[in-house]
Amino acid sequence: MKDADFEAALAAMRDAPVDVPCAAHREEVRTALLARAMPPVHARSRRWLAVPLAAAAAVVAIVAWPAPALHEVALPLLPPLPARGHVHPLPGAVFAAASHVPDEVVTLHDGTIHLDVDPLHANERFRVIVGASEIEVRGTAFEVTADHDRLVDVHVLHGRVEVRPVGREMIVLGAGGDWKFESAAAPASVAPVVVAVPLAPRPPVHTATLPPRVVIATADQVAYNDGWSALRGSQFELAAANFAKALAAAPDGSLADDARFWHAVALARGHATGPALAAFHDLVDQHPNSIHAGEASAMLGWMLVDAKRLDEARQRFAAAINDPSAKVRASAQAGIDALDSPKP
Amino acid sequence: MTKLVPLRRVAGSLPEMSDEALLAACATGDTAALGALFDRFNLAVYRFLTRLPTTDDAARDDLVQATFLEVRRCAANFRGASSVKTWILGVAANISRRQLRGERRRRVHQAMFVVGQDDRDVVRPDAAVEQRRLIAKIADALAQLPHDQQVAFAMCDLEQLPGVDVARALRIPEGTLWRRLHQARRAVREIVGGQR
Repeated sequence: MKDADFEAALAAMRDAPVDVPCAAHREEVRTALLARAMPPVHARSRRWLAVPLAAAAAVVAIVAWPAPALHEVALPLLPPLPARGHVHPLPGAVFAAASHVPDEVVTLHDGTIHLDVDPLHANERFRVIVGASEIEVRGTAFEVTADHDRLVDVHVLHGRVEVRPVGREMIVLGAGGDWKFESAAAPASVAPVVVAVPLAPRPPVHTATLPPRVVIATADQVAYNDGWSALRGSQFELAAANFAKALAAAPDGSLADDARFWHAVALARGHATGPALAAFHDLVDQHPNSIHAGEASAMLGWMLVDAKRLDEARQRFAAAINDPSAKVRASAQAGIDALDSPKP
Repeated sequence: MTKLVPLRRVAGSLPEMSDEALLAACATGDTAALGALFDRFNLAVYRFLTRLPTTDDAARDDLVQATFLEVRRCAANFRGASSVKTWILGVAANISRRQLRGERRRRVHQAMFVVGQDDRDVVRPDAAVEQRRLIAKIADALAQLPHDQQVAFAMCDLEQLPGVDVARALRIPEGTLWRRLHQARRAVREIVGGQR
């Protein structure tokens, strides 16, 4: 092919009309963009509205519905659905989606909700706020119960959840873990994994009956928390270093698989491809039963596709194909489909 | 309790602001500045994403939105090492790569340029038609390249952005950019040459 022909074709390509959407369509995209870009509306700032609204709704329900069964007097709050999870409220639950990705907050005022949260990206958060208590998740399924803005019960079905009861230390619950308000003074959780100290000061509530325990965070917990802070701030090298430090401090500790996973994610997001590949390999090989194993396998599969190691990639996708998370399964299936599809 | 979104254009000062000033305003969370940036650069971003064969029509709107949301998030990190336009296209390139990793599909974007399938199949002794067929072949060849090479080719050879700017916007060494561009050009030539 002659240089002149190629250059002429390139020049023609530059000048060729590109099929961009019409102005009206782009205006719609603009509108959607600005709507998404609006700062999140925090439930705390409008909490004063919740009581009169709920009262008004209850009055309307009582007046309009003759003799309703008790469970039918569900408060008609219809929040927008969270993007990263699904909320399944039990009858009578009062809750609202207060902000959206990347920092989704669901406020629960009363009743019980079951949440199924998809795996989150490193810069994303998903929290449930009950009064001044907070529950933070990282891809899991769990139930929260509140009674008049007071956290009553948290039960984790799978995954890992941080519970930050007001005026008390954070507790991390693993699968099957349970936290109950009335038994909170004693460590009654089925499978509490970590107790860590560094918490923002909050107004103490119930301190007369539930004095906070003095807990000293271990080195791996401190490093792990530092890693997460760095990851949220997109400081990937620092995050990777902190997660590595957490691993070094407690290679077999309860945080080991979490630290390995986020270490690999931090390396990948920092474009350290080789070390990230090795770190993902470490995770799936050393923690095959980790809650992150499927997601890590899928991510590893795509990285291996990038590296043209297609046979290994297929194995990793296959390992993730039965993951509990639908998104992970879909990613793994897409990977297998991609490997099976003929190259264009 | 939904907040109103400012749909109207802010008259007066915003159009007179430099790209850098708009970006700085955007970094403070100014939604109107983000809207103004969108007005100024959305066509460039659409055009650029359309040139990437790994971007399909269905995903393109989402990618454009994601690009500008990322622009807002990272606006404070802009150091003026490249032009704002190049920087935004660099953000779009990274966003599209993430999307590609998520879905990972090398779909040939047949409608990338206004060249119909019929045109390519019909052989006529006409130079213009021949050139259009060549363009379509280059587009197809581009679709077979790795994403990084597509980005280098699209930004440098198609958008004709300065290489130094592009390397800074993509946060890669200039040598890496040139290597990718060289590999892309060579591969496109080989593929197109092999089809002839």
